[in-house]
Amino acid sequence: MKSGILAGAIAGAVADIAVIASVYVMMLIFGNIGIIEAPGGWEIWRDPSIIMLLAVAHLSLDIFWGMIAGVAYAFLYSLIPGKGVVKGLYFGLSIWVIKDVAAGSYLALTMMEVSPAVILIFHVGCIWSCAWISLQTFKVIRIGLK
Amino acid sequence: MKNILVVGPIAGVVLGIVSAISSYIFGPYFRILEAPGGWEIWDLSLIRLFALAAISLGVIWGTIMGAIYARFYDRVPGKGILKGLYFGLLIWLIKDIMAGSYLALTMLEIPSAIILIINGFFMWSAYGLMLGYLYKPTK
Repeated sequence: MKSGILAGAIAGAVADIAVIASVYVMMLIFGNIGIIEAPGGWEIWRDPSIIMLLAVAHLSLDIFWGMIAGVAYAFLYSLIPGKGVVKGLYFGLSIWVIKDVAAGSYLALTMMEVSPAVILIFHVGCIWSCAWISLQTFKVIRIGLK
Repeated sequence: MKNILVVGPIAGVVLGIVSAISSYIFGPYFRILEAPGGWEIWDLSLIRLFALAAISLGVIWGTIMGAIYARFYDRVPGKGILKGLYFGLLIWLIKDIMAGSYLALTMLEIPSAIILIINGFFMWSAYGLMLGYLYKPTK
């Protein structure tokens, strides 16, 4: 249980730092990739303090949910198919299906909130998809290695 | 496994009906159903379409979650209906609370997150109770 919490927290933190760094690099290369519509409009996403706040919120959430996912991973370990990293990958993909794909489908089809759904599932467009995939892959690999 | 492929979709229909009803009740309250055409487009035919979408999603996700329930049956705490309820609440935690927290805190989609969590509670509780009542594992 303890190792699950620790592994999950580390997985969440490391993955988050990786994804924030990759998004930052991509923003430097491709310019503003603003996909998040805030109540104040797109303009507020040009404010570095908002980006910083977003990064902190993302990091906190990833550590928090990483710990909970870590506990679940430790609890269900023997029932998850595969070995080592692959086992972690299956677990990570299951979380993705339940958390992102399921929630995204309800958001899109029953609330017509298509953009947040797409962001939730793919993080919109190639750049965010790549960043998202690297986040998930890194996270599950980290969980898998523990 | 065969059993769950029948039970999952049945519980999924209940999930869809509860989803449609709870969205109908809570949706306007939180004013989240903002369609591209504005609030006026939410006429009866669109509400029917929306209910149909909710039930279809219920059947799809009910079947998938049912298969997960059957796979992890022994690890879910409780017995009978309570076991199903615990599983339903676990799905609610991952699907709605976890996704809702990301929606609210990293995308500022707060009303959508609130409705996802409130609707989800009723949906997955009903689904879990139904699943726990109907599903009998094969020995």
